[in-house]
Amino acid sequence: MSILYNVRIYSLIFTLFFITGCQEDLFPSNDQLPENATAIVGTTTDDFSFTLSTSNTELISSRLQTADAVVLYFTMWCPVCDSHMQYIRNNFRTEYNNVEFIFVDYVSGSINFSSRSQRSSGYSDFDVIADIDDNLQAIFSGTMATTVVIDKNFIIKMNEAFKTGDKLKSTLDLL
Amino acid sequence: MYQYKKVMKPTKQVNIKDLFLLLTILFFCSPTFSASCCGGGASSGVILPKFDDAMWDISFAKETYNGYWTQQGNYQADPVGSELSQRRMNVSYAHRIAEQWQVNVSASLIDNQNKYSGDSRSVQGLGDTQVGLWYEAFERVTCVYRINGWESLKPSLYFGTSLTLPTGISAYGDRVDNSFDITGLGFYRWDSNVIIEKTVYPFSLGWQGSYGISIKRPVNQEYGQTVTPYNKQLGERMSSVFSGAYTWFLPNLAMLTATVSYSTLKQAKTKYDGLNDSSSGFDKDTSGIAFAYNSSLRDWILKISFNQAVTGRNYPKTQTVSMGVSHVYSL
Repeated sequence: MSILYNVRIYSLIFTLFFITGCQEDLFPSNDQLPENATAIVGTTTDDFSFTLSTSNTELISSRLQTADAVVLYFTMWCPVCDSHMQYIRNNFRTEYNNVEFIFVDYVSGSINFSSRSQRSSGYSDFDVIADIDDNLQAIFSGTMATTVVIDKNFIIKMNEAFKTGDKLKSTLDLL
Repeated sequence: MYQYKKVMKPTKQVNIKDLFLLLTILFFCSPTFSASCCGGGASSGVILPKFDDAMWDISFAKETYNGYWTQQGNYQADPVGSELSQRRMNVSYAHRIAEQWQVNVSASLIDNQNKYSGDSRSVQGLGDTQVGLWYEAFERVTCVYRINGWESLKPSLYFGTSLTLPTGISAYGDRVDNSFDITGLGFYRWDSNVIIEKTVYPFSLGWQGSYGISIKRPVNQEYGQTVTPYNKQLGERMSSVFSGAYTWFLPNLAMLTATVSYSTLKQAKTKYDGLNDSSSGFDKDTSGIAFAYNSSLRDWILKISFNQAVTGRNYPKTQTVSMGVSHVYSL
């Protein structure tokens, strides 16, 4: 093996590191970042309408008239989502019986498809929003496992990915 | 570094299962082909045959997602109208640095092509990168044609370690606004690997085991949204692959090897600030079949494989078809 060849190889490896060095995950930080323009926690949301998988259209205000808060969970009917949804069913719905837990299906293209996914996944006991026009996805920057808490005063108390459930619990406990 | 293309409705494309899609990039490599040390094929990406100095490998794979297993292990179909797949191009290079030591590097390009009835999205990007080091705990080729005493039963034994670098685009960078753009896990991972294999032509048996630990990392944003900083650590990962192979010697002295394999993969629960996420963790069993054609000079290897997930928990059910070519040479 020539020295020149080894130099070329190690240069190649170095170049690979250099090219990928712009990836922030290589040097993760725990610095608190400034709130970005899209941060909405603490702000008040306007009243908005949504369509359930039952084809009924409602306003969020109608739910908040009777509930202390509404929790929206964005699902794409994936294994991670299913685990979280089961966790919500088993650990939250009974304990927080005056909070509305609604799943937001943001991947189905029709109410019919959303309803079928809801039934086949075994969540007929929950309300599911068929977010066909991506309205809620746009309001809350919703993606897989995004969990939103809106209190009775329309203030957004939480808007981040579901993790252990501790953040959701502490948010609901402070209502 | 990556391209993003939103496809117009009514198809809304989603790069789903981002946490899972990418798990397969580096950890569901081709099944163990027999007789790596003898040049019969490659195991876990790239393993140099005993007396060669360098090897490059390029492979293309398509992984199709067909539902998933819930946390209880029940099968659940994907939403109606969805087509979820990932295509990958892996490029690897292995280099001998000493008589019994070799290093390798592997990088990948990811192409997520996933479609739901309401969304379509196409995302391409660099995946995570892996660098590895192998020690060959044997001095001579152990492949034999007949058994002549205990000495001829000695297997090939490899000890290795590998580091996965989070060069892909993860949920924790500032260039993603949703889960659809992800091409990497976002975590460093340190794996310890063992391969043991024995060939008594035309039969081979092999086992590969690995144990991996992800490095705890701070997170201060998710999908481009600022969050209160926290520490996250993926669970420990264990995998095991059993394989058996049969080799035909072709008239031109080339070899054709057929390998069947059965692999298990388990990952423990994710931790957030030291607390277990009870909804995380997964396991998956996969069966596979592979064919490798090795040229008469043993310097070119053509490979094709098919892997089918057979059971699992909290994990997608996938089928993977892979084709690749390796070139081995001395310097």
